[in-house]
Amino acid sequence: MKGNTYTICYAAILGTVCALLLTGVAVFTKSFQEINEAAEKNRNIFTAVSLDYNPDASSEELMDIFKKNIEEKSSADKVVDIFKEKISGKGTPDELAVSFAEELEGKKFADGIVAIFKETYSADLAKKELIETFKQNLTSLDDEYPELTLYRYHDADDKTLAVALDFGGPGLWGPIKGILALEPDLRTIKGITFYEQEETPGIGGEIVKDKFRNGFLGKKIVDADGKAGISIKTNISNPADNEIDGVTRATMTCDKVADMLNVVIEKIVK
Amino acid sequence: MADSKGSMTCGGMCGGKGIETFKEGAWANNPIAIQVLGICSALAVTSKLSNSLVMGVALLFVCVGSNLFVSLLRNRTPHRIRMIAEVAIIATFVILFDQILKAFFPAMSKQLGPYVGLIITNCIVMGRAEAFALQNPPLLSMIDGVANGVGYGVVLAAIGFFRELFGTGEVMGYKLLSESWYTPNQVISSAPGAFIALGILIAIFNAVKGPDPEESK
Repeated sequence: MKGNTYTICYAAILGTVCALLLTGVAVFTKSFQEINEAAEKNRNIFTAVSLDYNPDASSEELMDIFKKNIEEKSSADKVVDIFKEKISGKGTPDELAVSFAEELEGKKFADGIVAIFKETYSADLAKKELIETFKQNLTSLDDEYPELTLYRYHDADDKTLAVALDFGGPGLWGPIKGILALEPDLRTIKGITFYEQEETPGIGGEIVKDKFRNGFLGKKIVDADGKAGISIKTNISNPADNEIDGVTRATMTCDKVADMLNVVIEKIVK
Repeated sequence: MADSKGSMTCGGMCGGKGIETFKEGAWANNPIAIQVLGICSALAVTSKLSNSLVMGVALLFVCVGSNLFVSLLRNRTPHRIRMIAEVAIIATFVILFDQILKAFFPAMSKQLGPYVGLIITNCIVMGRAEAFALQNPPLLSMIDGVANGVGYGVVLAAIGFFRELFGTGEVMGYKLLSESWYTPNQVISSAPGAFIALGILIAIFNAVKGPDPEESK
């Protein structure tokens, strides 16, 4: 009665209508979901730096608290600051480029940044536009740039209370992401949270529990000789300042967490 | 499903038939307590009353929506691909609900985790589309969807209420059992508690309903 053509047309139309509906909903809810995701991250930053907040606060309220108490600064912002300083100073473009390069020496991406400096500075623009262009050009540098974004937690008088930073990397089963908070000295751990992980429940998954996380409090991110790095070990009787008590039976997860922390710790200590 | 072979038109009979359909779905053939369908989510999300309620609303929404559309399209859907068509319609409603939950109730969405998305595979929804909506007019199918959604939601809420009460001593943030004489029982909050609570509930349900006439023959 009803041929193949009808069946195929029916399936195509039904599929298209369903797909269009879902696309519409996805587009409509996207901005809300993005705010929620950002708020969820803020929540973790607050916990890591031990900022008291109302856990029932809405996403918008969390964004407000974030704006009031936390200053976000990436390593790119720092470079932009140096750039501002240089272009206000005196000297020929070449001299400025040389002193700019000196300040960045030893840093990753230094060559690329200096090239962008030269390129931007040669353009004939007003100072404000120059800074904007420089910022823009920096984003084209590399996918990994900026390597580090710091969240500075400050009180009403702008006094630094803690500094938090993202870390992440592969876990045993899936990506792990979290926030590490340091005391203003940038050497002592103030807190840690994990906001994304798929480790084995009950074993590696225990890293999100207070018991493991509290083991980080007050630990140093450098060893006695000042060398950067921490380690997570189980069954240690006399832990050094940079040795953290791990989760028994979750050696793989602990090692991976230590690895991803050491990546950011190295950048901080530098 | 003898009564589903009646007249397709919705005339004066609709009132009486609607009530009958509702009773059948929500009580006599309750999806969880009698048919024991869809208990995967019923066990997983019922550690708290609020979760159970949201899950009940989600299933109600999906069941009504999918029943309506499956019924509207029932004379146009080619028989060979009817199940795929049903799944597509069900999946659309589930994802719709999931996205809205993620956008406006992120905390609840996080607690329910994958279980909202898993409604797609919930046998109640598919079962009603296949067994009822394919043979019945839209309005009656919607009533059947409401009935099954309510039947599922009420049972979930009951399990959720008792598990939260005995597991934590409080319900929706209100302290009902004082800790001076009641120690919250963690077992009730965890997985075994779900099985025990569901088992007791099914037993009570069957005791009240009386023996199944077909089985006692």
